[in-house]
Amino acid sequence: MAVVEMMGMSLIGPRQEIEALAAELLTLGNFEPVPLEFALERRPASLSSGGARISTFQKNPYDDLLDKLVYVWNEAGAEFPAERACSRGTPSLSWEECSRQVLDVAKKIDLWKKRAEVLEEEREKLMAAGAFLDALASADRDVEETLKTRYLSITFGRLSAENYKKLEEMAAVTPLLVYPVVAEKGYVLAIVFCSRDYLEEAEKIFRTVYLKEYALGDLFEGAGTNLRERLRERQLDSERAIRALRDAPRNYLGRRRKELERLYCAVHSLQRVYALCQKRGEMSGIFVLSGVIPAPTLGEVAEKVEQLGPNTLLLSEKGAELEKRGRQLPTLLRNNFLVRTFQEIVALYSLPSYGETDPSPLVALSFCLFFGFMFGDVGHGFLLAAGAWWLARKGILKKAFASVIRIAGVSAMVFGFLYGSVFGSEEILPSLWTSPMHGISDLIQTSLFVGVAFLSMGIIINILALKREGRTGKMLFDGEGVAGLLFYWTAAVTAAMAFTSGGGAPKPLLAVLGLLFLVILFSSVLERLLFGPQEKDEGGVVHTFTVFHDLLSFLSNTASFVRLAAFALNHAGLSAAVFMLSDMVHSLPGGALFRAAVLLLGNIVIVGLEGLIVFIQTLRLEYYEFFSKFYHGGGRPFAPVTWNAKRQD
Amino acid sequence: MSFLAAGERAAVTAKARVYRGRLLAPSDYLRLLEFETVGEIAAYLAKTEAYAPYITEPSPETLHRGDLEAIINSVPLLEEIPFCRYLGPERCALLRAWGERFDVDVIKRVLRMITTGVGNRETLRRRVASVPITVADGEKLLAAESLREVLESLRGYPLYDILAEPLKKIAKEGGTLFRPKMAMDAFFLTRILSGGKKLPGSEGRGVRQIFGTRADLINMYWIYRSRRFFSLTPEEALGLTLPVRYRLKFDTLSSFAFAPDVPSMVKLLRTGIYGEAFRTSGGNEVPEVGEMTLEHNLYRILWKTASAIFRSGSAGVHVVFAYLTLRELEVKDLFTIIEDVRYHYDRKKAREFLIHPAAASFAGREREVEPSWL
Repeated sequence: MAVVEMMGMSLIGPRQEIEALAAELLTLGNFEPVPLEFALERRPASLSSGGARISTFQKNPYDDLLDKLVYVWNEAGAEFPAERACSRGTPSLSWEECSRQVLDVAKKIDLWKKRAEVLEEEREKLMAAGAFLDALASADRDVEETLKTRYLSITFGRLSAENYKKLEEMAAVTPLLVYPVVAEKGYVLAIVFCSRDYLEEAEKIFRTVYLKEYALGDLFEGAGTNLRERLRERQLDSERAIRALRDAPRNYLGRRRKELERLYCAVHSLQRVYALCQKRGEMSGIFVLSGVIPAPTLGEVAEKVEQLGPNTLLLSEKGAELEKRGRQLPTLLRNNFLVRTFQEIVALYSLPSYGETDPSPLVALSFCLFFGFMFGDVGHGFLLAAGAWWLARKGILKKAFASVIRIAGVSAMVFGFLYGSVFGSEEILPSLWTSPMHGISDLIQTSLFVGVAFLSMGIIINILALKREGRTGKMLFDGEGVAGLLFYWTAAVTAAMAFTSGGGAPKPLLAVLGLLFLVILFSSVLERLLFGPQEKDEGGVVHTFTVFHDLLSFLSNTASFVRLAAFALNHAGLSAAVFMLSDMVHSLPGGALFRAAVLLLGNIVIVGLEGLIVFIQTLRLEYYEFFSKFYHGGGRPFAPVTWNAKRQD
Repeated sequence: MSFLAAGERAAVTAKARVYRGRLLAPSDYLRLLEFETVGEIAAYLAKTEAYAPYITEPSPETLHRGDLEAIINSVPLLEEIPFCRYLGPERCALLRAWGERFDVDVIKRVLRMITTGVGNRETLRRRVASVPITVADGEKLLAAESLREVLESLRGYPLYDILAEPLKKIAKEGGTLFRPKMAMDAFFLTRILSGGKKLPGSEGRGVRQIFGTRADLINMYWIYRSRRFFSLTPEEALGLTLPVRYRLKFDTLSSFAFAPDVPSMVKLLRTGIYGEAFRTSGGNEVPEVGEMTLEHNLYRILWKTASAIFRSGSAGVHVVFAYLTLRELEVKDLFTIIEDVRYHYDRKKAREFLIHPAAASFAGREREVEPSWL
């Protein structure tokens, strides 16, 4: 359980073997590629024969090919082949072969598309000519006469509505006359008049407003009486041809589906293999591949190398070694189902950095405890769990988040039995422990005890982490080290005795507290005296304030846990208020109905609103009180390359 | 409903203010300018609150210039996304339109690659993998090898209608990408501004202030460049302006464009609302402001506008836009610094071209080159 140990791993071998091994690594899903220098920095001997000649790569040669195939499928409007159905291995096709086949297909599709576009232009022009003819007809003008004016230049074209507005604006400061003919779908077909002397300047303006000019002279050449009809026929011919060309890719794919699907699978597989090999080094056909893997999977990889790479060298390096060289390793968490659910809560704060203690198991325990303590009710807990299950089933709530709420609901039910509370009523079930309304002092004492226990646990984890890091001085004398823990426990016992005995705090305990305070205050001095110069000193003033802050936070953090009791009481109080309200409306006409409505709405508010508040308070206790004692986070998730996620790298 | 809108506004404003607090401090700029290599810059940025979440390479010091620029360039876009979670559909659509400007950058780069052969498709692929684009079919766009294919990748998206004509024309007759690029910029500014008009009170005013100013500056700048450097006719210069106006109305822009000659135009520009951009500390006596200084002054006006939004104390999506504008300008400053470090320019001189006024004036900035409006 917890943060999985990682290792640096490098494979050096002939291309074919590395490709086959990369396919296996994709299936195992345990390899995150890293640049060569990351893992091979201390391996000059392995590469001494040609270290200087290693060329490195960044580009995946199969990306472009896959893009082209995607383009083919998109043009055909067909469904992509199921990638899961593709065989997971290295196909025998070479890059050159793949490239030739893919380009052949893409070229065909391109040709059809270009032809369709030419025809589309033609059709657009014919439509514009039709609109022009209609406009002239409505103005009772002859086509040939209009086009053969001597001093006037007539431009007919199409532009966006926005640019048309701009053209109109320009017409106010230039000798242009602008008239709209047809306006639809954000475009305007417009006629612009200007003198022939100004045409050169006018054309510059047309360019700035992206006016698509239609040279209609050739279309109207030899215009006869049935010109409009002839235009319509040509337009229909163009439309038919365009349709046929648009259907061509789909028909082509339909005819050669199997062959093209095989090609797609091959390119897809190789694209994934080279996504894994993207940061490789290469020298004379030998591939050098470096990455990070979870240490427990090294044996599996070694087995694969033995099977598939007789000429491949496997080099591995412990994560700790990499860390010593300043390499940040990714974090992979491995926990059982129950704890895994609460990884989300930890990740919401921050992922543990590599080597740090994963707090997920403790969060799983404490989250259930805190939530149940504050929201203990059999009925409400059941509604919460059932609601989370239903929302997750409907896809409204993320599965992981729903699991957290479900477990929180179950915990609320367990505490409901302890409190003897069902939908706020404490009269239906006998209480197995205490009831919030009648045993508030029990609850406060328990919540304080829970606080002391959890904060102590946080400090102990911090002490263990400091020990692991070899920071003995800090571990012994720091406010959040052994001295701090002893101070906290002594203070807790002193306070408990002072409150319970009524005779004030015992003097020997006060003396111990004073001594421990001095130890913590002069921790840097003691550390230097006993262990020599350690970490960079933070300065006397800062240190003093830090000490006071740390020690005061013991008090504030512990007091924070009183909220466990406060919210348990709050829950009981809110439920009582709902019952009182329902009793008040009971005497009204139709009172039974009103009562039911108040009970229903009241319980919905309790589950929804109070449930949310308690959830937030639980997170608050985790993040501020508990995590602040030991947890830093800042980890980077382990991101292996797999057969899925085409472009994750 | 208005209660929810107030909640949305308060939440995003608080977040924007927190994010603003994380922007680089003037001392960071100074430190960055002291470095000798791009790797050192990357390593330093990887430790700052503003860039640490984005520079996740295990060894940032090995990052090359292109990679580092690609990372920091995507930061404003990545930061825009989380704001949307707090906002309703109306405001979120506005914010998305802002983000789509960066998607347009991908289209521009693909177009440039096709027409000039310059650029790296792989860098773009990585950029799209980290922040998927929403204004085009990303797969098709990245695979496009002709203008026609680019256009095809836009089919079904709003930009198709905007680019169909200019791109087809270039594919057929040749020419520069200037007009399609302008068309894309105009499209997004128009969308944001028309969306901003629907927002109430200070929020709507704020959005118009940020993007209206941007539109004004672009219009003014293009008229100036068209006449000063490209010798275009007044009609052409005016035709290049965006169909969006804020404080510079069409008549004012016409008066700039139709000025009898370039010196008269500059004189008019200097007396205009944004005249400060065309002045140096010498005021109107200095004949003409340099090209780089002008561009830098225009960015400063944007910086000033965005900072004023924060000072106003109002709440709403416009504060997010103000923050994102500051972030975008910070990224531009980092690009300047990377270039200065990469080519070993004089750092003292380099500071003059930083947009962040405090960073530029930090430690020994020469006062005489500072624009008078600062």
